[in-house]
Amino acid sequence: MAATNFLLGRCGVVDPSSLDAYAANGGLAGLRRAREIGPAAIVDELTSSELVGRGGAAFPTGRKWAGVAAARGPKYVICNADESEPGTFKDRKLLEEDPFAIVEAMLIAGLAVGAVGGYFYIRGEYALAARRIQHAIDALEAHGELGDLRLEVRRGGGAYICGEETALMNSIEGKRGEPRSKPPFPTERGLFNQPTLINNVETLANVPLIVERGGAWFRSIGVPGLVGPKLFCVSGHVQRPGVYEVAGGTSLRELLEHHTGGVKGSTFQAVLLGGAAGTYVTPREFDTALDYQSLRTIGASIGSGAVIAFNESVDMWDMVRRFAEFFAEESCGQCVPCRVGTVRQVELLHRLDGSASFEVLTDLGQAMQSASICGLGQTAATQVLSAIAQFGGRSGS
Amino acid sequence: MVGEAPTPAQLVTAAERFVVDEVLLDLPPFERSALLPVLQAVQARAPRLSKGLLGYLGDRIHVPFAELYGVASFYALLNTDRAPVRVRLCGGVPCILAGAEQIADVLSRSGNSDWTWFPCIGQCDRAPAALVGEEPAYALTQSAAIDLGNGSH
Repeated sequence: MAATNFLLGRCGVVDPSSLDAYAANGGLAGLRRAREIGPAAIVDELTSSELVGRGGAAFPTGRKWAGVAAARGPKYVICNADESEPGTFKDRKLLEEDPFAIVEAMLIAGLAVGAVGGYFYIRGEYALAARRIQHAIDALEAHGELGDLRLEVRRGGGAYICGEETALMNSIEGKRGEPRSKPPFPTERGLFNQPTLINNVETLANVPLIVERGGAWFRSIGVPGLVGPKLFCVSGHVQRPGVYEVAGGTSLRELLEHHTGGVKGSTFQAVLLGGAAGTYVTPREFDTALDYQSLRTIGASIGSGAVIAFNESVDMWDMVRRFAEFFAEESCGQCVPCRVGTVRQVELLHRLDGSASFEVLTDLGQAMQSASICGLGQTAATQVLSAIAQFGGRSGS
Repeated sequence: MVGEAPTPAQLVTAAERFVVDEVLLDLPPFERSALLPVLQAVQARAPRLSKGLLGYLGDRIHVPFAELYGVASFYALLNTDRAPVRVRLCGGVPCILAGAEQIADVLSRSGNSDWTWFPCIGQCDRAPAALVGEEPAYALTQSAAIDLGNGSH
C-alpha cells in the first residue's frame, strides 16, 4: 500500500494563516455539505465511514456522535489536543500546519450534535499550535462561519494525565486534572455534567473529508482492519523521523524501510509501537500489517500511532526503565494501583534480577491493569510486560 | 502560639497583589472554569505562584487556598514550589536517543542552573529538543546548548 495524502495534503504547502488559501485548497467543502444534509445525515455518514478514534482507544466515532446527538440538555464538543504520549507528535503537525481543518471539523461536530459550546484543549507545550488554532477561529468567526457556537482555546498546564478525557474535562472546569470513574461516560455526562462529544485531533481531521465525500468513499481506503488514512509518528533511530500518512494495511517494515529511509545505525533491534503505553515489536514481526486486526495477532496495537525505533546499540532495559519513570512522574496519584504501582515498577527495574523480578513485575502489572481507575494506570505496565516477553532473556546483562 | 501564624494571603507582596488585581481587572467576572487560564495569566506576569500570591488570589475569587494550591501544584508548567526555569530539556526517549544527555552535560558545565529535565514535549521528530520559555528549540547541537547555558539563545 502506498502513502496517502488526505490528512497531510495541505501541511507545509498551504499558508496555515490564510482562510482564503484554505478555501481555495478544498477547505470548507465539508462544512458546506454538512449544512446541506443536516445533523442526522452527518452522523449517518460518520457511522457508515467506520472511522474509529485515532487517539488510541479506537472507539467507533459514529457511535459516539450518535450518542451525544440523541442526548438532551446543553451539549459541548471538545477537541482533545493534549497530545502528550511520548513519541507522539501527529496532532501538533495538524494543529500547526492545517488549523482551519480542525476548526472546520469542530463546527461540523457542533452542528451534528447541537452543541452550545466547544473547547480546544491544547497541551501547554504547543504554543504555536494554540496561536494558529485561535487565529483560525477568529478568521472563521469574522467570516460568519461560527454561528451561535462559542469556541474557546484552553492551554494545558503540563500534565500527561489531562489527555484522558475525563481528566481533561475536570481541568477545563478548573479542578485538578484527575480522571473520573466511568460510567457515566462523557456522551451522557461530560463537561459541566452535560453530554459531551470529545474527539482526538486526528479523528477530527478525517471528519470534513468524510462529510464531503461520503462514508463509502472513506471505507474504500485501507483494509477492513483499518479503514481510512492513518498517521504514524516515527522517531528514534530512523533516517527521516516525522509524521507519515499511510493507508491501513501498510506493513511496519514498509513504513520503516521505505517511508522513513531505514535504520540509523546498522540494524533495527526493535520498535516501541503505540507510545509509552505500547508494545515492543522486533524485526521478525516487521512484516505485520499496520491495522488493528493484524496487530492483534502479535499482541500489539496502533495506540497513538507512535513508532519509536531502536538500533542494535540500545540497552533496551534502560529504555524500559525510562518509560516506567515517565509513568511514575505522570501518575496523578488519585488511585493506589497506579500511584504505588508505577513507583514500584521503577524500583524493580532498577535492580532487575532475572526471572524472580519478572514474576513480581508481571503480578504488579496485572494488578495495575485490572484495578486502576483510568487508562494511564491500566496501560502503564503494558510496555514492561511486553519487554519481558521480547527481551526477557537479556535481563542479566 | 496557635493563631499567630500568618494566613497565606498575609504573605502576599505588593508586587504580587498588583499582578493579581491587574489580571482580574482584564477578565470577565470570575467563573470557576476560568481558574487554569487565570493562573496561567498571573504566572505570565509573576513567574512564581507563591503561597502569598495564591492566598490573595483565593480571597479575591472566593476559592479556598487549599483548593487553589491543590490545582496550581498539579500542573508541571505552573511554578508553585519550584523556582521558575527558563530551559526545560526534554528527557523523552527519542530525545535521549538523539543525545539529550550530552546537551544536559553542556548545560551542567555552563554553571547556569536555569534549566531542568522535563517529560516529552512532543518534538520527537526534531530531537533533541527543549522548551525555552514557552517556545520549543529543537535539533539542539552542542553549540546551541552552550548558547542556552549562556542565556544567549
